[in-house]
Amino acid sequence: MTVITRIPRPQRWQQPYGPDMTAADVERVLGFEPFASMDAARFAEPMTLQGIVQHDTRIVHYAPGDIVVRAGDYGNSAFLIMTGRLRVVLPPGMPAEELGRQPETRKSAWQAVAMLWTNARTPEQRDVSRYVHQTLTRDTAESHGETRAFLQDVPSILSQYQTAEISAGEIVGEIAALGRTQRTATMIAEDYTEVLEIRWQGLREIRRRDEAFRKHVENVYRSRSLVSHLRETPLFRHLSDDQLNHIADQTLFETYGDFDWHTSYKRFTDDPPEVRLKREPVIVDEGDYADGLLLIRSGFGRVSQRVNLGDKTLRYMGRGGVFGLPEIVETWTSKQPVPLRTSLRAVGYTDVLRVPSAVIEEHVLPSLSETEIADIRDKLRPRDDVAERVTTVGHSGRQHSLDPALLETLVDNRLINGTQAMVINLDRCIRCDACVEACAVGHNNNPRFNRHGRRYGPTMVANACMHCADPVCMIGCPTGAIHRSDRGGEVVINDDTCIGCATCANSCPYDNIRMVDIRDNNGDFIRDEASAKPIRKATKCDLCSGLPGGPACERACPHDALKRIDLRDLKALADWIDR
Amino acid sequence: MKTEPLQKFDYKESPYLRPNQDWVCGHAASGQACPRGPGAKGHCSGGQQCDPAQSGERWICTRSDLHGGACANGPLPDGRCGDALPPCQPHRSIKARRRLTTRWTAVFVIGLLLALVGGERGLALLEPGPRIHAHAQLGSCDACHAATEHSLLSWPRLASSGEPDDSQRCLRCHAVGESPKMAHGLSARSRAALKPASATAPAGPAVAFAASMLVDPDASLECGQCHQEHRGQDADLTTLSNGRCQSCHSEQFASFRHGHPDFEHYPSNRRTRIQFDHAEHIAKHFPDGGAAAPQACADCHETATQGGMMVLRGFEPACGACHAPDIAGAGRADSPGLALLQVPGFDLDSLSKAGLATGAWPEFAESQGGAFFAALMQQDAEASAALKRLENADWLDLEAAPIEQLRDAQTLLWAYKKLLLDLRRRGPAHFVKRLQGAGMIPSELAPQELVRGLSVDTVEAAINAWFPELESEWSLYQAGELPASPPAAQVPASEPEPEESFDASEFDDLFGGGGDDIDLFGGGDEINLDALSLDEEEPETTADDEDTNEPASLDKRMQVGGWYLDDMSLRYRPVGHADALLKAWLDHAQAPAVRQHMLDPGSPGRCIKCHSVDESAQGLVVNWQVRRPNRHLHEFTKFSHQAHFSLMGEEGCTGCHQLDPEADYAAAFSGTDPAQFASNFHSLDKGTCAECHGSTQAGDRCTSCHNYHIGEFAATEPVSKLSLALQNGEGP
Amino acid sequence: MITFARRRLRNSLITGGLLLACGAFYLSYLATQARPEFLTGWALFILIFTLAAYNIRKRLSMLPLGVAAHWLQLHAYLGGVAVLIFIVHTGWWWSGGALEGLLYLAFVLTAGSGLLGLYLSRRLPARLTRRGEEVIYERIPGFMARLRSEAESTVLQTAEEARSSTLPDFYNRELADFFSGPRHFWAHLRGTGRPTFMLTQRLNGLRRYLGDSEREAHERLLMLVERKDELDFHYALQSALKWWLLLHVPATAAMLILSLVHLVLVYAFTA
Repeated sequence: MTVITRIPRPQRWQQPYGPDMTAADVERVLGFEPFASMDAARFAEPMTLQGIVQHDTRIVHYAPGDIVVRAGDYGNSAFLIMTGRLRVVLPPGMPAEELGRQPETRKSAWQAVAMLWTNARTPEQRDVSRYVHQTLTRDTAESHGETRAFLQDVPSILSQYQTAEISAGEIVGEIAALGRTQRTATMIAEDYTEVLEIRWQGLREIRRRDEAFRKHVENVYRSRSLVSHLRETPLFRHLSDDQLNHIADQTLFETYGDFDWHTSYKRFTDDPPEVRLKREPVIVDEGDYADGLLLIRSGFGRVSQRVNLGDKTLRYMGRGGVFGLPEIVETWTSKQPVPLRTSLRAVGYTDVLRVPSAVIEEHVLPSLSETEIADIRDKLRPRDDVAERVTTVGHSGRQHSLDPALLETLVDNRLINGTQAMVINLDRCIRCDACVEACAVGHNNNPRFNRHGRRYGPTMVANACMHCADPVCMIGCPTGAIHRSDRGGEVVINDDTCIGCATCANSCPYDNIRMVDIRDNNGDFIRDEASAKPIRKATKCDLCSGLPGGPACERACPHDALKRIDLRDLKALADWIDR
Repeated sequence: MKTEPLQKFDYKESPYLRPNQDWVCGHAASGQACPRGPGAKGHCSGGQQCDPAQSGERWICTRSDLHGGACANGPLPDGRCGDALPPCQPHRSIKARRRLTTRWTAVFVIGLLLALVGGERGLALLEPGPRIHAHAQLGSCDACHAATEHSLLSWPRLASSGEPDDSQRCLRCHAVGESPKMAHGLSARSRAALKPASATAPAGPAVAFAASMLVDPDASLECGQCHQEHRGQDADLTTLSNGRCQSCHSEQFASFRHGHPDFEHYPSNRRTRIQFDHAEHIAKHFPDGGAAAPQACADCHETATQGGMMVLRGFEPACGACHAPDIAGAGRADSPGLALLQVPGFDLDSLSKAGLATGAWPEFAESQGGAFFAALMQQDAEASAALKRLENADWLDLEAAPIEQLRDAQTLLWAYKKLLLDLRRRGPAHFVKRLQGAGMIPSELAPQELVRGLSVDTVEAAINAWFPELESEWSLYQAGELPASPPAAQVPASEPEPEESFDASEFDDLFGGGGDDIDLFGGGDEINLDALSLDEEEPETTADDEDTNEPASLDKRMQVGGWYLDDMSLRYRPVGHADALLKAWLDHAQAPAVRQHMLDPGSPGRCIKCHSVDESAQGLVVNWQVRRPNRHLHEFTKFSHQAHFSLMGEEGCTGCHQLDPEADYAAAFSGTDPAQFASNFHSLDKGTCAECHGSTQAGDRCTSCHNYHIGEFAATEPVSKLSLALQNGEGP
Repeated sequence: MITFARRRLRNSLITGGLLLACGAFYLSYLATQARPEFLTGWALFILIFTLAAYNIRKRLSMLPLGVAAHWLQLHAYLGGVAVLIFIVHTGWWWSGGALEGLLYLAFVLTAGSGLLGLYLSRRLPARLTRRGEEVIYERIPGFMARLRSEAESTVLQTAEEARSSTLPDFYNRELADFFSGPRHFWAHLRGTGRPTFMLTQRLNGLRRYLGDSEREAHERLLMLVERKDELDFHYALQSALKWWLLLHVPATAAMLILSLVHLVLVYAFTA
């Protein structure tokens, strides 16, 4: 037995967000709103407000033209402008290339091939030297890297695009950070600007404890990104800004389920589906009068219909989903109240915008053409096969009828969360593990998924990271090691900063994150100096983001049995199932 | 009863499965693999659950939470793992086993190959299949393959370079013409000389097109490309598909029946060597089949070369019956013998009047010296000059002739006597020598070829008969003392005929007796004796008229043939068909004049009546032989008569060979160009063959009528041990 | 996304067309060339190396070399073509040489195992899906061990509680061996559950002799037997799906080597 490598076990806040936050800085920050007016007493040990500022924030300086965030980035942090000015580019926004996105560092073909012999012979080998002096290099994937893109000619940009000014004292980006959604707009520094960047772990703590901040966030959302959100919705596309603003003013915010839904989900995972369904909060119930149009802002909604004593899932909708339009249209045209044909339930945690029917009738419906109206009303007509099958038309243009039980399974297990779920057709899979081997080759001889998982009939959703639309695994990661990559938005774990606390692995509702004991080049476990226990790291599928050609598993399957599918897209699933 | 699944999904219960690892812990089968697992080299890492750590003086378990955290009973006092599994024998993963098996298979195969080649029968095992019987005993591969003379390692290079010229080894035993590896074994030139079927662009079906892309008619072919060995003992090495022919002969046609060119005067491609007019004979000479008339084609024709071609049975059975006497000269108006020497005649009176000495000269000589006269005189400059000047003069009437002509005549006269003198003194060979001197006969030719059987006596007799006083006269003439007028007494001397001699008295009366009489009579007697002796011999020579005393004519007496004196000429009479001497004269006499004389169908022996004469590089050549099979000649078209005999109907041979009465057969033989001809028979009709030769019945493969390897070449002879032994000086 | 049925039709048509074209060309070639073996030989040589390239693709999974599924399609259809060409090339039977004999054997093994593999890959997965829990092959022995210990403990427990040796005796006689490892391989492969069925019959027959206290254990045993049988079933079928390659791949290696030697010999000995 050779000498055993030992390193101190990493701790939360051991590696601060901003390594160079001096006490003075912290003091200064605490002088700014909203921190100044916060009640420090409500922040109990160990999560003191000071600690949060110390560890979960950092001060970043931008020169004129620097890009602070890009539209489409997955934000993990919010920004408090301390001095200077930022400009937010309003939709339609700037073309991606002008935003100077950096290409992801992928292996060259040769480097990729070289893995055949450079890969480690023993499992989970790590180069310990990478864990030392990592503070300066960590989180380079975040919006502020050493290599920072900037725009040459700010004035022309400002003249060219519709922008809004954000001046000192304002907080931006917290919506994306908290909703774990994409940045809605690009922000650039107009002149020399000092920004306090707060990572969302910190934001969460603050919002928990400070009512004012929570309200503030909501208002900010309404005033800033609600309009753009509405504009994203096809229904409102051809409305004037005044109309949109009017709608925005009338819109109500509603939140169903709990933010950390995964914990409860795990708790009740053994209950039969119907029981779990009953536990899902009803947003609007079948048979009620449609008093408003529902837009899903984040999370998921289950559209169900009563069948005998149970509820049959017809559809599910994620961010951008619209509910209740046909009924409203029907009511408007037939001049008599039409009850909702289906119920909408919150799957886990759901943010909903409710636009009152009156507003819709006033602003939206008149703008619709006859045919559009007809199409919408047509949706109301009951399908005769609804009772047994769920019919949909796939992208391939073919008419599919899906086994509703499959949908139930997907929703019950919250699998609809997956944007890159690994679906395996067991009727074709010859269990050759080519997918696993391909995966291992791509990750230093370590597989990043297991070829087993929940199944309905021949359809199995394997235990590989689905890169969820709502990645609950990221909740509670003390170091932000698990994050969304800049580009694809796939959820990746920064092995350098992972402290092996297994929070993500435990919070993942789908058992798709696996903890491993890491080893040195001899294959011996790397141990904690103190307890001498092996150091663990969280590992999962990263969609082969480092490799040319994307996910190796899918390409390696010789029998068309394995596919990465966005389960929110029922059509794609139907096409594949019916293949 | 609720059964919970065996396979859990969460990371504690179900760690990554690593099918790509080479080794699997031996305890995995029992579901309790040790945390660390086997090393990369497949050794067991001990089987303990953890490496206990020492805190203070006691040991603590450090097992990972992933494997159930710290174990219940903890480490042993000495710091070893408490519930360590017994060391296991790690086994290979499925993937590793597959890889291993593959490697070993590869090694095994390569080893096996080396063993095969290195072993006793080594290379023999590489033989792809059994050889045909004929090659069975060839022994080592080297006999046919160059490769086995090189090392194994050089084979790939050989293969890529195409160096091993194995065809050369085939050719050691099989000769196939001037350039064996070219198409048809013909050089490009000789192929071009033939009518090139492949000259025209491929106009055939797609098949031909594809083919023509693949085949270059001028490329050299290896033997193996058609003759494929190692296909079993009974394999046929010589089959050749029609398409293969057509890959070069892109003048495409579907089959023999459809598109194959029609025959042009097949089978004859020249006039017959023997002028035999079938039509004429059948019509004229044996109309109602006399005794001599043939009853069937087979009476004159027979098969040769295992029934391949039909040839003439030969002179005797075919022509002899009628033409043998013809040759001997029976019933000829003129003399049946070839005159080699003839006494020229001169106007002696005019000569003597002119006071030119002539000496004695036979009065009845009338010829101009015969065919060879000029040639014989040629060496004598004066004489030949004189002869030229006298060409148009009538030697027997020189009365009006100017004195110069008379002198010339005298010159010739004496030159002739000189010739006879030389003949007497040097023997008959001198005659040939003179002709050779004149360049009329090839000088290398041995004289006897032309004068075989000409005895000195015959010559002597002739000289005596013509010029009894030759010697004395010659000496006098040389001395210039010879009187101009001839002695009268001479006259009777030139009367050999006995009946004349009866009138001798009359002559006596005319001239009165004289002292010279005795000589004269003596001379006359001698002649008479000669003549009489001839007469007396006659009864023995001819059997038919023994009992009669009538002396037979000279012709009759000379039927046996040979040399004889005929009045003023010395002649040779052929002894029968294929007379060697006549043949020699016909073959060798070169001077145009002479040839004309010789090659005249009427000339003695009548050879040229039947044997055609061809103009060739060597000049005019007499076809002595009929067409004979040449076993070294591989013709492009082959046909077996015998194979078809069974098919003949009652019309027999004429079923195919139909007589053509209209054809002007004879005309072709006036000239000397064999290519100018008109056959006695109609050209064979393709249709006749096509009746049977279709794809179905008798088959229509190109190779059933055509040879691929064509040209004249002999099978290579083996080097005989005997000759070697002799070379080495050891007798058998 | 093209459906499997459609894809099968399309690829079959393409292959068929290809074969027809090749056939036509080959016939014309045959008509004019004395040694078509050279054409077919080269075609075969190139084909088998193309087919072997599929293995390379599997190793280079990290490169975007096209989807393995497409490669497998190519592999399968070209494999079929190769078999036909092989028949034409050899004329059904080997020429009699030792080397060619080996090569012939290697090809037959490769092609045969390939076809077998194709059949298994298309038949067995569906069967696997229909029965039992989806388990990972390598873990089956472990699961069996778990069932075994469970069964043993069950039996021992009842033996103590009920003071009867009926179940233990039966276990020792019939079940001990059954639980001790994978069983009835061929029966499962063929799809006849007969051996286990008979075993269950006998186990059921025992029921009448059991006291109430033993009934539960009996039930449990029945369940365990059923699950063990499911594991056997999966073990058998998954083994078949894994091990046919153990014939296919080595045979291929042998074939590649021999074909190379064959090629060299052919050219070194026919110039």
